[in-house]
Amino acid sequence: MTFLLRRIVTTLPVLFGVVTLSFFFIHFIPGDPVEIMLGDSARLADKTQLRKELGLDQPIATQYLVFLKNLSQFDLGTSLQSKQPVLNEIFEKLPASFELGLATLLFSLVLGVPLGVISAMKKNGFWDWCFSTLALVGLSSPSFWLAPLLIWLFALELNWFPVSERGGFLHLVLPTLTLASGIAALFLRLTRSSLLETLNEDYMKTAKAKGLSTFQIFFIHGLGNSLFPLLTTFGMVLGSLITGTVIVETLFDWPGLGTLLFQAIQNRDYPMVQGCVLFVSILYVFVNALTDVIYQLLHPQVSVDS
Amino acid sequence: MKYWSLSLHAGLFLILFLSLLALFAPQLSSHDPNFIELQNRFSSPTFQQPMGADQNGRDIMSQVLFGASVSLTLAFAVVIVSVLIGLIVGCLSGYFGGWMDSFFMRLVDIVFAFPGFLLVLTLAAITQGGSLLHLVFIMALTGWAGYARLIRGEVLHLKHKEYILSSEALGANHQRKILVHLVPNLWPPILVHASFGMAMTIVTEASLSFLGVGVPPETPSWGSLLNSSRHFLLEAPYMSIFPGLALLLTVLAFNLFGEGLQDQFSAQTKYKRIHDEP
Repeated sequence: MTFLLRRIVTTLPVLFGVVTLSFFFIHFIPGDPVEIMLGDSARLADKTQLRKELGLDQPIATQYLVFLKNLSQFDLGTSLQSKQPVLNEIFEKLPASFELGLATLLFSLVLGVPLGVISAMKKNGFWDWCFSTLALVGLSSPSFWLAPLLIWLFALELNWFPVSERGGFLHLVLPTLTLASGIAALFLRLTRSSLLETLNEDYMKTAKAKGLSTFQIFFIHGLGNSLFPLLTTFGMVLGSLITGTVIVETLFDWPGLGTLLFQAIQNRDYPMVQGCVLFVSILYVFVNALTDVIYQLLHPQVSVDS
Repeated sequence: MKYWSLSLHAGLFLILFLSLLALFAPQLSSHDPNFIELQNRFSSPTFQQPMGADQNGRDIMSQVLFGASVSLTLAFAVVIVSVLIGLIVGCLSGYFGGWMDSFFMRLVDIVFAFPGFLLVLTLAAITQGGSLLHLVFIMALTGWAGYARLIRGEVLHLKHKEYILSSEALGANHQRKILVHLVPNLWPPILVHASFGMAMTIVTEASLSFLGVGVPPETPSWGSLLNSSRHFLLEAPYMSIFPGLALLLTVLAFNLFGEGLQDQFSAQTKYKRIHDEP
């Protein structure tokens, strides 16, 4: 319980930093942000209007306080493009991103973990070499290259899957494959190294000495204990999932958060950009904290300080 | 003990090879990468143009070669700047501790709290239209934190070693202890991290350019090449294949090198441990 409390307390300054940095985004814009948003040919009246709407005519301290106050009421501002509240639009797009993210995670686990187990069982053998190479290539291939190739081969030439957009299961296949290439590779390597480490533990020797079958040794004692460290990398996985999502959603016209952010960037809809970044970052901070807490609950002997 | 690793040597070889290609891009490419020749649109790979031509008839191989020099130079600059900042912050934090440590590490936490790419993407997008230098600055702004955390940890570990204590006994001041005794021993982990950092920075730059907020429009870049080529997948799949392969190969090279180094250093530490301790 003290751990939980301490984790919450340490999360607060970080959260505060994230919020503050997001606030300053709009002030990072070189020149006049209003002019950039509206274009050079905008009328003076429109500019004054927008400046007022965004509160840019106020002193910066006032702007910051207003920003904090709105945030505490879950108000992330209004999109310049659609005139809708930013948070509404985010929630509208969230399910699509969530679907893609979940499919990717599941697929990566189903693919990465068994291959990692085989690699560890056949350490330095042919299959280990094959899978390790595959993982390295998977980690190194950028999604914006993999996706066009997959689209070209499976959608345009073979016509197995649709080219883009969200829909049924078939629509999910290519974006998931693209996103999963790196994450499955990560799972494969983690499973392999973690299992190899576990195999050297004393209790594994005990299990063997007791005369348990290879199956029991490997899958119950070995795998059970070695899958645990996978949890600690969840933050990393989530990070690469978010990064990947922006690009993959854009490539496949997937109507999720990534597309929303990218379109906002292209339209210079800065309140929307700010809102998306803030939302995703806060989510990211919370998931990371939650992962730590779950890890701690499952594994109380891990010291907090280490 | 065998200190020879395939990945280290393969990675090093690839990096040297790619660097040479990038260095001699102007001599090696047969065309001006921005030379538009409309009658040559979508010409398939030939002997004169081994990678074909794009939608404006520009030679793809020249663009890929010039893209290599842009990509590698940019990534190198980002990594150097990040390492320098990380080195200063990490040494100060780890060595002096106290409020300085708390302050810097909270700063690192905040940088880490953002999903890295998202921060870079947003900064690049809202300050758009900048130069290459500007892009270096943005990427280093988020890149330094990893090095700072790594170096701080190393310094914390090293500062209680006997050779540091004995230098103190000999009257060395803080400056001498840090610059002469600590920093030289920090290179192995930094080098490993920097190699992976190169791979990551190259992908980040390509992603930004792919999304249209990276290098300025006239600069040849793998990312922007891949962006324009994806609209012509049916007519000219080779337009996607070659720039992507170049990118894959480069990222692979740095990943291999980093892994090889990591294995080598951990093998050396193990070797030392076995032989130092009775």
